Amino acid sequence: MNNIIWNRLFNKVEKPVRYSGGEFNMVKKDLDKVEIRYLFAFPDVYEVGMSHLGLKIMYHLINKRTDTWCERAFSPWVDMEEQLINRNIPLFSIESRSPISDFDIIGATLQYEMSYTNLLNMLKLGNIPLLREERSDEHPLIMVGGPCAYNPEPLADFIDLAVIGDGEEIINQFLDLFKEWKQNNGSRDEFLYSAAQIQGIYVPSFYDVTYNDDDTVKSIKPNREGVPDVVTKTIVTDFENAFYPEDMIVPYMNIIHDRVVMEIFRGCTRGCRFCQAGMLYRPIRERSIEKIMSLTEKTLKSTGYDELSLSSLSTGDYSDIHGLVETMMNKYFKDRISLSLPSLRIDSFSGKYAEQVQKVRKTGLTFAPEAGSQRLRDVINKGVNEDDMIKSSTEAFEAGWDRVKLYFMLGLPTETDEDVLGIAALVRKVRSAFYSIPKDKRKRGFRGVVSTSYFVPKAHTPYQWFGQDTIEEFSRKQALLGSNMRIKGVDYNWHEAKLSHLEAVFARGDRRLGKVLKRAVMEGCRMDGWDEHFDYNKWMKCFEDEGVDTSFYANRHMNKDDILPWSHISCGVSEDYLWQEYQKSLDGEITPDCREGCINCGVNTTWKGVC
Amino acid sequence: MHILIKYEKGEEVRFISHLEMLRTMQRILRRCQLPLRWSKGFNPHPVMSFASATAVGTLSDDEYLDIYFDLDISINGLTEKLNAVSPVGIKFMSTDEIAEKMPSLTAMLETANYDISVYFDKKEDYNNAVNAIKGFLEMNEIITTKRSKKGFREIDLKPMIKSMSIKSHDDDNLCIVIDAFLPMGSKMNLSPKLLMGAYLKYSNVEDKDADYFCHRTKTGFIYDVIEKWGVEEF
Repeated sequence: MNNIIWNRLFNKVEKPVRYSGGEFNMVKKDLDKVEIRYLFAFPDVYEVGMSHLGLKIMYHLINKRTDTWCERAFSPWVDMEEQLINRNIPLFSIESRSPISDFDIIGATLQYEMSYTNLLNMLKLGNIPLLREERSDEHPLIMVGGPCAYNPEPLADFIDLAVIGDGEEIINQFLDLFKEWKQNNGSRDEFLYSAAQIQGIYVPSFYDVTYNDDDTVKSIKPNREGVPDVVTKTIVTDFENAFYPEDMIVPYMNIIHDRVVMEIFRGCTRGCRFCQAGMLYRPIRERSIEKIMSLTEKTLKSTGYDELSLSSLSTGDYSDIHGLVETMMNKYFKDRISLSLPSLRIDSFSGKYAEQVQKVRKTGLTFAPEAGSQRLRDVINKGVNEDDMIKSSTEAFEAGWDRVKLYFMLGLPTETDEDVLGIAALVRKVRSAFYSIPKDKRKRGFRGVVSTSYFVPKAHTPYQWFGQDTIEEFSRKQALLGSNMRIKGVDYNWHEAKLSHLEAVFARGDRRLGKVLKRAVMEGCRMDGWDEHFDYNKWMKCFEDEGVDTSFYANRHMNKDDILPWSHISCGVSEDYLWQEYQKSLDGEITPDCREGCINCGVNTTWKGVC
Repeated sequence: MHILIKYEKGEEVRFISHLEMLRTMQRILRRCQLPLRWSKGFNPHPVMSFASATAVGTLSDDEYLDIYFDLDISINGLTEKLNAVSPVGIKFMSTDEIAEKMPSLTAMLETANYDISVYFDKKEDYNNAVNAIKGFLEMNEIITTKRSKKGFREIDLKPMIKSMSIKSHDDDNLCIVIDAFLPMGSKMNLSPKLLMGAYLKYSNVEDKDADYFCHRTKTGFIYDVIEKWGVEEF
């Protein structure tokens, strides 16, 4: 396709810069000199995908190899999708504008359950058969990774394999194997079998799943020798020296996180019971201050970014956060690099160091108490107490903040109406704390943004057995809270619960959902995370037509002895530990931060001495 | 120090917006680690301004921006330095020192020359457009609706067209290239978009059946900026 045709295509859509490429540090290679063509497919639009640090890590890591070229493709927005279909143009990669079916391997990251249809839609637009059994050895190998890959069962019909854990640890080994296999002309099956020998690689076709009469899972067993009963994730053990893309690609478009995102540690020790990431990314592995400073310096120089963000699951918990922030402020203040700190826990935040950080530019203040009452916070093990919260907020207000974002969830286990109303009460207390400060020592008006989302029980967490509240129950609770949230200066954001219901279906789903997904994609479901494109009725018709009851997956309380659809995949945390945490939760018993003492979650056994 | 920078916006960056170009320039300047002058206040950024904005889809051979340094440095090799850290498609042509105090570049804009390539889906539309140019330019007035902040208003494009002609046409590819010389700046401004909208409408071509791409070949200022405000380097 010549330049003019491309230009005419781009001219017809909104934000053509989503597709036109040419970004600074984009990697261009000579197709004749490359042996493996790898496509990183991000199943959402460009501006979401390019904010993902994982994409940048994998893109630049894979491109360090001379024998492989990693290109990118994103979900086309609906206007581009229409053009591609009308003009008979297959979905194309950004770098070389090749049809995605030209690639040897398509690797997608699954960040979110409702992006599954986007991924399948990308394959459809690339004229690649969705079902694995309909693809030949000539078609690209389809693999997935990311947090949802820890329960990839709903996609079992479609994918060749899943990478469980830190993809960067095994990708080179995997590509070496692929190259060897390609040179030796073996069958796809042979390749998958040798790949399955790498820890962290899960090949769904090597496992058979049977069901009981009551529709629960009866067994999940390998259907051949030499394949593990349980696939354990792979982890980066030497995180200090783990690859970080210093010459990272710089998008033109104003993406969601248009800055250098520096991962200061991976994993989390708090053990909040609802949090999947906190379980999946164990054990905790930190980078030293020296390494962080060195990587940051090189990356800022190379990219020209003027904003830096420290990323982790709980930045305030970094072992020497004050030292790190001080070192950064001393170095970057004169260069006018602004530093922002997402995901702060309230109790590790203190006005003093946040003030330091905000010296250059004041970014917003965000807290996630999640629950409105202390009782419920203890249940979910987010053991932050109200007094600390108010104290921290007050310090922040005295330091000049006047805007606060507060995130909560509805539908947490054991939640009562009193807990729900506690959210409004807490918001009022935070607001009062602002106004209790003398006028001359604070800004003029308090501005709060409160968001509630609906709790979705996730695999590999203590709540994996917990059935989600029904849509009706969610609506009732939301209305109850809504009527109490008319507070001056506070914006209250909430959504309908229907999308969360479907998230819960896929989060705890099994292989039988494959047929629903296929139907949904063929019916035109995609971009479900976008209000204007989410069609709940269409989805429900798909479930109905395939004879699947969504409440079986979303709302059913599962039993301790149930075989969970993801029980053949392990994140290193033991089932016993998760069940124990679940029971403790129902009793409102807290589990302390494991930095204070090992609580035997299992990770320290799976990888001896890693903690 | 006040520096005038001339650059090209090429094919690879055709579809970036002006705002995206601004951010890209800021990052290029940062990568060079120059002693930039910063704006004061809440959101400090390098003090710089562009002569004109280049729309999404438009290329240019002749763009200008100016920046300020807080220290006097030699700008020998600055053009090469900038090119070394630029994405493909943005090409710096020259850097010159100019007077600290002078009118803004935008205030001195006067004209722009464009090559506008138009591609048609239908042969009929192509023929109509080729034949319509004479009649279009001979009209006493060319009334068109322009959207402004207050809503819509009608304006007459005729007195604003300095010159316009079909430079070449390709019967096989249904493509014509128009040469347009238009006013640009605060005194008088005619965007190629407005002009093309009127021309295609006059030729009875629907928006969806044609695509046009503008290529600014020259930016005209009231004065030759270097001649009037250039500073010699000793």
